[in-house]
Amino acid sequence: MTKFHSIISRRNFMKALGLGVTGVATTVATVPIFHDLDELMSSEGAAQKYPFWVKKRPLEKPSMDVDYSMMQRFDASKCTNGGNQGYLQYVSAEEGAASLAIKAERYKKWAVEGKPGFSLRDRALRHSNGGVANVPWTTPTAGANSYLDLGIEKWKGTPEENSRMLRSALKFFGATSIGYSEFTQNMQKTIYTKQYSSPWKEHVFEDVDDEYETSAKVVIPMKKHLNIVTAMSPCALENMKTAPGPLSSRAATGQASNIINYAFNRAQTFLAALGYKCIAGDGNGIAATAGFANLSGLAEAGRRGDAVSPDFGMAMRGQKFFTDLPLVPTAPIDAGVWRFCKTCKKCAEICPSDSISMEKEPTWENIYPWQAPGKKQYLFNGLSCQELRNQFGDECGLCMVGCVFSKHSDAIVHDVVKGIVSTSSIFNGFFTSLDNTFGYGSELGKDKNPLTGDFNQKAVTWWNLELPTFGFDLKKPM
Amino acid sequence: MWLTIGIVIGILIMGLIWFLTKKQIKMAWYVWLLIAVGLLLLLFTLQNFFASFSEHETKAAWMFLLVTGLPSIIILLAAWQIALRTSKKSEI
Repeated sequence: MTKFHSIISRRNFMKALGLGVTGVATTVATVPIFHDLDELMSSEGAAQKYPFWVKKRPLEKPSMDVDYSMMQRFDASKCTNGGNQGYLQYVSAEEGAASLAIKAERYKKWAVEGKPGFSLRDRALRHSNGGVANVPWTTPTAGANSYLDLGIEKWKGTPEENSRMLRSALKFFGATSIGYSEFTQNMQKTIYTKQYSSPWKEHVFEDVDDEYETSAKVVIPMKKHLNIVTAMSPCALENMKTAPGPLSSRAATGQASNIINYAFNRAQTFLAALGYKCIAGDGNGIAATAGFANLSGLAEAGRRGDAVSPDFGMAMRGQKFFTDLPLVPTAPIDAGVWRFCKTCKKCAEICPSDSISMEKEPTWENIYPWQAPGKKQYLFNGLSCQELRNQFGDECGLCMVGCVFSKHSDAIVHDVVKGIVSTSSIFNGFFTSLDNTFGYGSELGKDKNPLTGDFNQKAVTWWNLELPTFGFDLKKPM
Repeated sequence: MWLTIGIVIGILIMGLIWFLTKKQIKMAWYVWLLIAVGLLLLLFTLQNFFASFSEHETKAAWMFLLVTGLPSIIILLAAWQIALRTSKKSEI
């Protein structure tokens, strides 16, 4: 019979016991203890959740170089993708008519032929998205159960408590990532002079107490101390993988916009009931969401000009609103994303219209009227991008699925890579090669797309996938 | 899944220790290191293999078997061989 005996001496056992007790005591001493919900609300630990490798930067200084002295308020009606008009302003009447005729023809032809991603059911899904809730510019009148109705003072909380409270409310309404920016003089330069899409009303700062809207302008009340709230939602990534086509960029991005649209509709009622403003408006309204996602620490800048989140890559959408609720601004982040973009170029390589710059370094140069000055950015040919979208009969979205950060979060390899990327850029090129070798991204691209007669078969298999509600599963606290 | 994997690995390690004690085999520190590295790599492979399927990334799943799974098996086999040869030498 085998005889067992302990190989640990009494002295070592006591030493291990002592170390264990010290460890437990240290943990207990450092873990924050909350006595009630108010304490929890005001704690820093209740802020936006980031992995340990995401570093915070000073306020108003995102990882992309920004020169506020060069920055001027931008006329968003110059954007090439704000409806057909955005594109048509840069081409001759003949060119514009021809491009839109091709768009209409392919739109119908591919639906009749039932091409993968362009069939009737794909289009039906895409067009069932959009404008689920009305989000007016002006804060709604406080109704039943508001502070007025109850005859009490409006909600009073510290900025920390309010930040936590609004974050909880917006997440309850469906938003995933929430950031706050103070509406300083620098931030005022980021506000569009005109709306992004029809009817291109002017954004006017006026020394008034309340916001209002006329047929020609929307007014921002400068007598109030305002903050900007940015909220984002991920796009359904399995939809994005069906790009190019209506199932991807418009169905999935429209879905994400809808979620935020609904959240803002509810936020207006919520903040009005507390006695505060929620000045929102529809869509991309007051400023570039990518810019505010950067400034409030929800993402970094990317080569394409969109926001790139370390969690969702380019596959996300968001909007912003003003509020006079006192809030604590959230800092921009450095997760190594902007550095990675300098060597990666996957979004540029996949783009069939070569619209995304292949240069290694971004530039202060500003040759395109659809790109706002004041940022060291990559040039982006919005005109050829929109031309290609018309050629595809609808939308594209290939760059969004090509982005190495547009990933699910099930496999731990993604966190390992992101952790290394945030610390050092030495392996960035190696990781881009691995991303290609492992088959991430899309099989479609420059040489294989609907214009070469190749359609994405994933648009067919998508209809048989068992996906989570809304098409995304966060799998971790955000 | 991780609970099951943890139980299986726990049983395997207990079995290994029981076996080594019974046969009175003493393994060198670098063999234990090889086993630890091989085991970690194998777990990394398994997690990414199954998770890649749930991410609908089939090619990535199989690539993990090749790129990290194969080296993990080679390391574990090397540890086994070294342990075997060392014990034979000590018997002589």
